[in-house]
Amino acid sequence: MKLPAFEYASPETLAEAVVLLAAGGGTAKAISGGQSLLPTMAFRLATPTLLVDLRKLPGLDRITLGEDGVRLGAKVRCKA
Amino acid sequence: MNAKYAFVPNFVGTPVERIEDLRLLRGRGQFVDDLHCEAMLHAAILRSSVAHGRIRSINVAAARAMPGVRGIFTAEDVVQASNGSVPTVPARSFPLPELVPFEQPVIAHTKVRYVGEPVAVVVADSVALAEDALDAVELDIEPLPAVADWHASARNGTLLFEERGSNQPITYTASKGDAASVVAPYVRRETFRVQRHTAVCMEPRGLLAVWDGAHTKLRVSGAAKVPFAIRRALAQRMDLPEDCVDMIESDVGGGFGVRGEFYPEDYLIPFVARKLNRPVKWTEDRRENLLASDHAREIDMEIEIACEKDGTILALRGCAWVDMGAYVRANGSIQPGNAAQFLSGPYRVPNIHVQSTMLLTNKTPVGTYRAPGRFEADFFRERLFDMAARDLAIDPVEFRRRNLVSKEEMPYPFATVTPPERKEEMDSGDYRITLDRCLAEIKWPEKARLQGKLIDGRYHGLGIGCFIEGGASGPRENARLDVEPDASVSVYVGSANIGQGLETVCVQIAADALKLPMERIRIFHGSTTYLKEGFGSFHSRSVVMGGSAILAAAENLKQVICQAAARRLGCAASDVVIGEGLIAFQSGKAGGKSLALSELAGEGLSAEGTFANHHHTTAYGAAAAHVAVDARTGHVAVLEYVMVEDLGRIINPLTANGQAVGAIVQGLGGAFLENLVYDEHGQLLTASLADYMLPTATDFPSIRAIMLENSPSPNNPLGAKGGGEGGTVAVGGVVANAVAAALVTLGVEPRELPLSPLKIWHLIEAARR
Repeated sequence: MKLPAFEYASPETLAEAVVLLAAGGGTAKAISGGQSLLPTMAFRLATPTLLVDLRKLPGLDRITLGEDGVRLGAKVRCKA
Repeated sequence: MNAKYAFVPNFVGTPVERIEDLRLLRGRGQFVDDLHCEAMLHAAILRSSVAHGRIRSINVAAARAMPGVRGIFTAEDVVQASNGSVPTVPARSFPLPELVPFEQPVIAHTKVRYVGEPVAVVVADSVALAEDALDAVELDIEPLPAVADWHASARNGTLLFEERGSNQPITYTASKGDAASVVAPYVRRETFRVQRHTAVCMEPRGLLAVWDGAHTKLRVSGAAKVPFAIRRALAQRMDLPEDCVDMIESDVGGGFGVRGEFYPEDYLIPFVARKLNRPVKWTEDRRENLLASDHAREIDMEIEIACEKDGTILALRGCAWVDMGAYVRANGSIQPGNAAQFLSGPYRVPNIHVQSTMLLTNKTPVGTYRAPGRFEADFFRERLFDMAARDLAIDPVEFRRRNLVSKEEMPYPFATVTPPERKEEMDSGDYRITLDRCLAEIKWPEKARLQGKLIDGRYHGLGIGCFIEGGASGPRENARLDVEPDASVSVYVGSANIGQGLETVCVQIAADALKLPMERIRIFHGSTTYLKEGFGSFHSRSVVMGGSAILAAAENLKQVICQAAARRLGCAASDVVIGEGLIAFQSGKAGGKSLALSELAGEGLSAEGTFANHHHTTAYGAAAAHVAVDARTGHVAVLEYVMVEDLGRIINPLTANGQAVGAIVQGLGGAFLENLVYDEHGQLLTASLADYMLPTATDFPSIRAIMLENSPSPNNPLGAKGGGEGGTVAVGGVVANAVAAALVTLGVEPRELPLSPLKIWHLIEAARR
């Protein structure tokens, strides 16, 4: 249950991340906490060639109140 | 206290904190995966993903070319090194010629018979590189139909061993009196089932094998439980003299019967280390652990009870079918035999006839798990007793009290199992005391009015069961005491530490025997380098047997000190007496002189001791549970669980209580949660801890264990009875009886474990229809 080999990128903008994921041609995967992806890789059930880390991306970790309700960004943590 | 032995306690019986804990809690434990050595390589094992099939080809060329790969080994390499055949995993307990053909080859050769069976070993510079190479091995297996359960096995339509013509290696018979000819006014026949589950040790298995070709020496770290037995098996299979193999015991994160037996890897890792002439380490990961370590418990039993109208039991008759998995491993004989032999538990049953059949299936092979066969048998028996008591309109407590073996009947025989003949008897005890104490502790008389009551949406129920726990396996155990130059004493014992607190307990025993403070005693155990022979830790034997050996060695050491002091003082050894701190005093006419141990310590004083014994101990007790069942969801909440057990002599109340509560929680896991589920193709569906549910701290918060010492065992100088497994034995029957009592108005009778919400819900729905 060790991880297979993979490339790693840590883009700083959303646009950059999208480019990296698109260029991977389906073999790149986005990773945030890794709670489900990393065990899946360790079991060798998933073997992405590239992991695109979302950690540095700005603007996805906000909770906003609007007319239409509450919006939770994709990187909002339980412990906000 | 029994008359045969006299033993004055001091540390023994007091709640001494575990001397192991300071080191372990500071992170200074040395588990096998913590070991590293120069030039060490790492192994990973390719395991069959097919439950049953013929190996067409194994192509390792691409894998061998992968980065960091140092070697790949298959059955062909083993065959070449072992005179044309693949060595097998030998039976350790009750070996029989009938079982030999069903032993597991250490690596699959021509056929695979379960998912997880080793097919190849890859050795590389790191575990990750080894696992990369595993993916590159081209394994071609022609699938065969999988035998997924014992019913299919019994039909013999598909055979695991075609040349044997049958999937049933053996049938054991437990017999006593003449059960067949008993005609009784009341009989009831029921079929019960316990699901496949097993011990999930916190630390998985691991091995580090170091081969020293220059000195023909093999050193294997990671031994546990029975290092000497493993050494013998390994040396034979490696074609080495036994004294060329050292098995080294490090810290062990749980044994429970599963860890430490001879497994395929116990051959494969030393084999590849010798082949490559490099140290090789292997650490089992959790997925492997669930696929490759022994499974346990899966058994169906049809039993019939025959009683008088007043509840007096006349006979037990029945048949058991044990799903053995694909091979008969080291301890395959234990569960089928125990389930039949100990079906009668602590009760007076004059006539018994139970047959127990091994059936092979394409699943992981089984072995012993804490209270093997006993947990299962107690579930069957205690459930059937409650059904019988209800039929006969006898209070379930009274039914048990009437049939418990009395103190005056001791020693009382169990049924005898054959083959080979296994005779067993209860050694001593007053079983009604533990029953009455258990009833008082759970406040049975007050709570009985809750039976079957619906309160706030949950049905309440109370269940009770009585049990016995076997211990003290022979044939013997050995110890050696060395007086060190600093006047401390080193204790070497053949018992093994599997996390149960052995070090503390042995030092307590030695301290009392030598009248030394515990700080002046150091304990060494398990490894084959310490003693000529040792027998390890299983069948709740390590303290009873190892502790008794330490007592024998202590007596011998005192004689050695007397003789040394006599030489120094110029008197006869009979004129020397040993006092506290092992000070030698000269008595008699020229008395008055004395020698401190430090004055004799330079002489290399040493003594050995052996305790030989074929009589087992029988700890005993009762357990009760109060449950609340939510009929809407089928969820069972265990509101309270109490066990009372008489251990004969309690060496350390803290460690005894820890053992008992831990054993109960493992039993509750097996009763409610743990389930190794296979599909019809022989694929294990629960091969991770996300799928295989273990009990956690919040599941069963209210558990109490009360330990008594009313009935010391007459069979050893400590008076102790094995205490590592009793907590587990009774759980299934007790909680299932409590569930049945809770749902009595609905007529629900659980006959199968686990008592999962879905299963309980189905039973409720079926009862309502």
